Amino acid sequence: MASDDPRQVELQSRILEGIEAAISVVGEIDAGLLDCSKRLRLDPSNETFTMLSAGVTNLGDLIALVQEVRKGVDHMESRPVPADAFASLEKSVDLFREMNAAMERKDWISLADLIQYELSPVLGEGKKEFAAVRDLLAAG
Amino acid sequence: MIFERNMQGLEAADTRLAERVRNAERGAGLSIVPSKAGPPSLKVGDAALHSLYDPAREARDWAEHHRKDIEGAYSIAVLGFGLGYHVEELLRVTDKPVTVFEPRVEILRTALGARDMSAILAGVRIAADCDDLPAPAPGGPVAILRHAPSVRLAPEVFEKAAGRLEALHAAARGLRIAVVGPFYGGSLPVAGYCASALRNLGHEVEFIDNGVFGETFLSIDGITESAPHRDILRLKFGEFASEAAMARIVPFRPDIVLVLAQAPLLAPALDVLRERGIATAFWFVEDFRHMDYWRGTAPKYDYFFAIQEGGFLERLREAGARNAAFLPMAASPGVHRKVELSPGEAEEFGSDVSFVGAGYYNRRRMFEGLVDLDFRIWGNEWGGCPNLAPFIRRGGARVGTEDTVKIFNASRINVNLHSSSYHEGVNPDGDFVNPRTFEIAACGAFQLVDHRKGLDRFFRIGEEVACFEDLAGLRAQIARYLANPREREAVAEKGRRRVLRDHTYERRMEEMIGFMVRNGFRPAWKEAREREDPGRLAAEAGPGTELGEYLGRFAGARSLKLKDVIAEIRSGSGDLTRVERIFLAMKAIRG
Repeated sequence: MASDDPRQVELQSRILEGIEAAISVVGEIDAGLLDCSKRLRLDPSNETFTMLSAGVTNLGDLIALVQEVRKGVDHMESRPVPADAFASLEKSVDLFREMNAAMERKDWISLADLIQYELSPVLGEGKKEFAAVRDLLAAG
Repeated sequence: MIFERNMQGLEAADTRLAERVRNAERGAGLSIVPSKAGPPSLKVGDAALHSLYDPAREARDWAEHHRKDIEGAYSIAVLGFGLGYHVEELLRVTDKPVTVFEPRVEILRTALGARDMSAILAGVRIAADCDDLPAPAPGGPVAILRHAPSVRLAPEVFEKAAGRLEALHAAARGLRIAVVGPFYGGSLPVAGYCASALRNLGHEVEFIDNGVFGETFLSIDGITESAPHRDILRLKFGEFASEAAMARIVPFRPDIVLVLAQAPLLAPALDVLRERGIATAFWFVEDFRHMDYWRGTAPKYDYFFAIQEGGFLERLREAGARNAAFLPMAASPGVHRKVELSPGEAEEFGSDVSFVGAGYYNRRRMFEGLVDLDFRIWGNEWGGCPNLAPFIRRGGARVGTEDTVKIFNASRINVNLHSSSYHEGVNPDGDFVNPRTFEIAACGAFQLVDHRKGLDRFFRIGEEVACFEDLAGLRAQIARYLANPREREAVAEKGRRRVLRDHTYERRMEEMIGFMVRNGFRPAWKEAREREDPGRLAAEAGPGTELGEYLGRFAGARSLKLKDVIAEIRSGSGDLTRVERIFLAMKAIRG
């Protein structure tokens, strides 16, 4: 049941805005990182690393946004969103660490593998999860 | 099991590389790890060389990424082998000649133990050293494709290989080479022989023949008796000739400028060439013990070639020569050849024994011991030798090349005594072989040559050339070979074949360019050359277009410039096509 508390209404509205923003950028981040993955295999040049740096920053921002949305959902009185609603995107935190480790040892092929075979599916799933949460909140 | 089967394939293709691979260090930080898709991947230290998830898919993406390069190439060079997935994929998408460069033989060893490589080993040539890289197949561009994770392991080595391949390709397709000769002297004809040989090899040549200034330069001696003034006039004349040479060299846009001994190309000109990235080579066809200007010249050139080796090359390096190499003299088969002589010519030029050359001290001394023979001396600087005067032909005038060839052909025995200004006869320490040795042999003529250090690396002594060490030996050899014409003819013929095979200026120019390529030479005008590539121009115009079809007629040409198209149009007949009218309009606009 929807709350009449104006603060709850405001919170839900902010959460929905955050989710919409995340949905709109997650595909772009995925495509950018997949492009980096391809370049890492073929031409790990300065241009590739500049693109990679931008992609990783965007990914970090997305993870931070997910964490904020998660916190916001936790503050909602009606709790319409299940606890594992962001399970896929939360996996990306671990992946992020593995990617950093590959970068530190300059293992560009493993980094490309992680992006192509691990991160990209996670981002695809995450997008679906965002959409599901948005639908739940909108229905509640 | 897999390793031995692969090694059989490698041994069939390259036994030397197979031996190196068999002896390569095992392990060396390399580890085979299974990929998630199944086929093995390879890690070097902590870093993967192929995908740990799906190396075959990665290889397909690699080949797809390079598809246009592969399609546009005549041959392909791959830098880096890894476990060969990308090479295997390449062989699936093309049947063009493929060379793979992999400097780490331990990687090859690991790869041959990890996967069945039979298709790769049968289809590609593998090189582990830059010096083993073959010249790309002539006829079209070479695509150099990098396997990035392999290249990252040793970027300098791989980039050196890429540079070498580009230079080899440019050399195979034909370079632009300017040859600068001297005003006069022994290296003047050599400059012409070099220019001809380079043309015969398919290079585009601009021959700066300073022989046209020879008489004017020599006339300076008659202008004044004042030595300082003569020096100034020679200097000014040299500056003029140097600038005149540059006026032809610069617009020609050569890859290489080859300068022969004593040619007037001065230091400021060399600075300009260096600024433009044009490689400079100097061929010092002189005895370094008699001419010491090499000390100042050697550091100014990118490449310096000498007809003496051993200690001289070391001295050149000490003097600052960056790349010095031995490049012996040779013959020019188009000039030095068998000729049919008329009875009159046989009478005029023939004798039992002859000598062609200048009257150096040792020759004067030794030839006094031949005055009882049917002996003729041709050449200049024989004044003041009363004992030899009856044998000197044409009053001691200089003999031209054409007549020299006739003398070689007409003489039963040509004596070839290397010059010395202070020995009584044979110089026992002589360490270079003069051009006459190769020239007489190329004519199919018989010679007796004084024994020189290193002569046996050019000819089999006694079979392809006959030698003497002193006057007694020379007389004994003359008697022997005059009495045995068949033996004489057999030696002469073997000598001729040897020269035609190994000692022509074509071979020397190949050796010179080969040395340059192995020592950092890169064509200066790569981009310009590519812009003039007829195949590339036709492809850019589009194969189905009117322009593309028109340009297709130049497919076999080395380069294509507007002047070539205009020449083609002017040689044709009938109505002009639209494309031809446009080219003529372009020519009119450019003037």
